[in-house]
Amino acid sequence: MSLIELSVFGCAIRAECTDEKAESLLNNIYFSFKRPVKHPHISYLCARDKKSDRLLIERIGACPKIAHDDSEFLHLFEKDVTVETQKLRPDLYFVHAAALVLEGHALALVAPAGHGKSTTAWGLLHRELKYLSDELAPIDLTKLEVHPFPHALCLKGLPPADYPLPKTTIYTARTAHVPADCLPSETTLEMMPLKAIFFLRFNAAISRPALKPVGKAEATVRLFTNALNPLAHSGEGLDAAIEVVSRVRCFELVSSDLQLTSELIRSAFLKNISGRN
Amino acid sequence: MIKRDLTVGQPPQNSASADRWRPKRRSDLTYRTIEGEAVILNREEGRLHQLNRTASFIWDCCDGTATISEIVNRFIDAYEIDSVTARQDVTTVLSQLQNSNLFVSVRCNKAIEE
Repeated sequence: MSLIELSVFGCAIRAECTDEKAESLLNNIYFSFKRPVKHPHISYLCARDKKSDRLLIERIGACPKIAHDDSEFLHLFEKDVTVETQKLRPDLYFVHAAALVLEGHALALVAPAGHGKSTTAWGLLHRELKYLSDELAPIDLTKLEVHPFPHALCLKGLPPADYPLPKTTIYTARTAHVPADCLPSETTLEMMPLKAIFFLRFNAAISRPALKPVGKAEATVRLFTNALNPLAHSGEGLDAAIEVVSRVRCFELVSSDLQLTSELIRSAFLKNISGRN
Repeated sequence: MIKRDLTVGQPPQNSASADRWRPKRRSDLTYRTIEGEAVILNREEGRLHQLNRTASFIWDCCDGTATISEIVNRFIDAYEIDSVTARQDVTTVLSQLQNSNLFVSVRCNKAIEE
């Protein structure tokens, strides 16, 4: 049996693993979150179900869930952690986004699942941007800072050949995970001020990516539809979305070739943080 | 026999009807106006609407007190356009808002018997 202790947005999590596979997955995927925990807010038991021989995950006080494969095991764990930390941190505005850092400022790549957030993040990590979060970017509305969520970067498909994954990549049935300590760039473990949001949409049919600024109302709609806990905030989440988009630059990015897309984001962000137009 | 309000099709086109209908926003909607554009959250249907500036102006007028003719007049004053174009624009926007189920039921002249 092994104890894995994590700190996620200040929430203490303890996972008791009685299965080696579960332990190995959590250790590698959540490497950056590992901290000693005295009094966990959330506790899990991760084991192998004797009947089905499948991994199961049980939050103490909730019904156990059986995962069909390792990919689903990680999905179930992260989904539960995401929901439970939202309950513990209703002050944060949880957004479905990847976040990266350049020159001490964060940018968020906001999009629904499958629109290329992680792949674009992978490209940007090859351009000196630091890793801050993947999948989830909780925003502190007072400071307008993004909390780190540096789980192993999760790719649902393989990136282009000129952006190969390292040998240490963990492959599951449906996903590839690059541990945070194996990324081509550093990982930031501190909250970072949010300066720009890129609403991402991948379009393989176009040869060059396209970037354009979006107005505050449109940005509000796009941010709101990617928020996970809008109802925890005033105006049913609209006010928080307005607050965020009013204080940062927002762009629509139709992404294509990864190299061109990464260069476009980097240069637009640099112009943005340096105040150049 | 059930009598109910009727909410179908286009807003009244003729001026007599237009003076009777006072479009009113649903009170259960959450909406905010950002840089002149309204964002409307319809939680019941899980929909979020974004209106452009002119539609937002018209939406703002739909408080249940103004008739269509009055809204048209306000629209003419704000945008300095001719009355035909204004009436056309206002009725088009009201139709879209009505079809999006953003107004409370519209009371028409006749009730339906079921």
